[in-house]
Amino acid sequence: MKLTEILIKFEEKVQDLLEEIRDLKMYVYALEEENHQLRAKFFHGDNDQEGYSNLLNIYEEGYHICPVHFGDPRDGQDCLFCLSFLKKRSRPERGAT
Amino acid sequence: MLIKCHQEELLKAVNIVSRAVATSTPIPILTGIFITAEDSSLTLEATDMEIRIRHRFSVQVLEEGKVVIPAKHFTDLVKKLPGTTIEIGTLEDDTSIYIKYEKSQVKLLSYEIDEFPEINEELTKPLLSMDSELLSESIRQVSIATSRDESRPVFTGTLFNLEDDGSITMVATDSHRLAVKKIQPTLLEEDISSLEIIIPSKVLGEVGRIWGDIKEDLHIGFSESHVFFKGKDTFIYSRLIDGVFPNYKDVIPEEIKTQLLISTDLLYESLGRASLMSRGEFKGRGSIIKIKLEGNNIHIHSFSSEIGEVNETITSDKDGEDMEIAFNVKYMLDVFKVLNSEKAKIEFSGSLSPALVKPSESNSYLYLVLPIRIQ
Repeated sequence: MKLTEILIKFEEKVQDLLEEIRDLKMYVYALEEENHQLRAKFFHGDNDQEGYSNLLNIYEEGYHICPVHFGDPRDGQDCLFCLSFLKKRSRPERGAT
Repeated sequence: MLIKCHQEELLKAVNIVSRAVATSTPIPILTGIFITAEDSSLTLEATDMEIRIRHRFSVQVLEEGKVVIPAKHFTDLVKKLPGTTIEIGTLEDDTSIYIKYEKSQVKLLSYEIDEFPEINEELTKPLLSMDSELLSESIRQVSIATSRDESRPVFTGTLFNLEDDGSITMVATDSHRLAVKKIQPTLLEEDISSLEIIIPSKVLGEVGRIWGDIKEDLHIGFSESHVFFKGKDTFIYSRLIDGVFPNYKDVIPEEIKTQLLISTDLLYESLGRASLMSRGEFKGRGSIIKIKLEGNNIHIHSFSSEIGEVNETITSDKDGEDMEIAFNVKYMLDVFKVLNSEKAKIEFSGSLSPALVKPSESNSYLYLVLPIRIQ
């Protein structure tokens, strides 16, 4: 294969890669927006009690709500950090169930 | 290179360094063991670029030299060699070595020594030292809470928090339990500022394995990205885990409602029997045991619809409310196995809050475990 052909193929690959990066960029942008909105909804809601209930629901549905792993699925067991986070946000103090 | 040594000593050294050999890598040299014969010792070294282990032992050096040989074949061979004096030398062509034992000889092809990755020697200055037995025991006590879930790397390591007072707080958690141990090293540098590093559990496992039965002063050094442990003959160097460890202090309950003081062995044996009947129950949530505190009695109950049930009653000194609580029995057995204290102090702050386990005579260790919610 001639050097020119190699370079053309390489250029095509770079263009494909750039296209993938552009797609990824848009995808990440959408995720960041969604994340921003979710955080605004759950952490800075107008109604603290509503925010707490939302977090508790998400936790009971089987997802982490602790800052370390927010949104990650739990493995069926309770999480020390989620419960501690919930406890801190509950006023007056409430149980985890 | 030409050396003579005993098979047992060679096998011990090979077993130590082989844990750092890369098992699946596109770089062949990382599957090798770098051997250096110098003065009157033989040094073996291996690395997978995450962890590096170097071990030195005394041998008869007839000719100094260096060679890199395939770890797997060399290890398999040394294991099967007779327990006698072994002679290892490089052949004239410099691309292979021979291993002589009794009246037999093996030839093994070697790698190019220049390809073996070097260590950044700038990071070998020790900052503190610690008794190897204390460190090994602390690793055993803390590592039980380490997670094996690689998707959350921070939890697969142990936090070493060098405090302002010069002590080190070791912390590990898998988010269901948390182990904390405070130890006092000797500082070798006066102006060490407080810092937090997360050391991979594999590395600490190797430290515990190598120095578990050896009493010596271990020198420890670290940078933002690496850590090393150095004893008289062995050196371990590793990358650190990148990330921020969660604020563990927040999860430790402050309000205590019930406190038990109980014989560690008695409780461990009782839980061990109870664990036999809890297999297979509550799939995906571990094996559950129920504990009922009633006066000075502790009733432990486990049940399996397929096997049967266990009802144990033991006595303890109790202060506070009666209560009922359930745990994953494995999490409880793990801590009583490593507590290293005749009596255990267990503190409860409710049937849904984490329980605290400590040795009765010391505040240097604590283990926090979440109960399981039961109907």
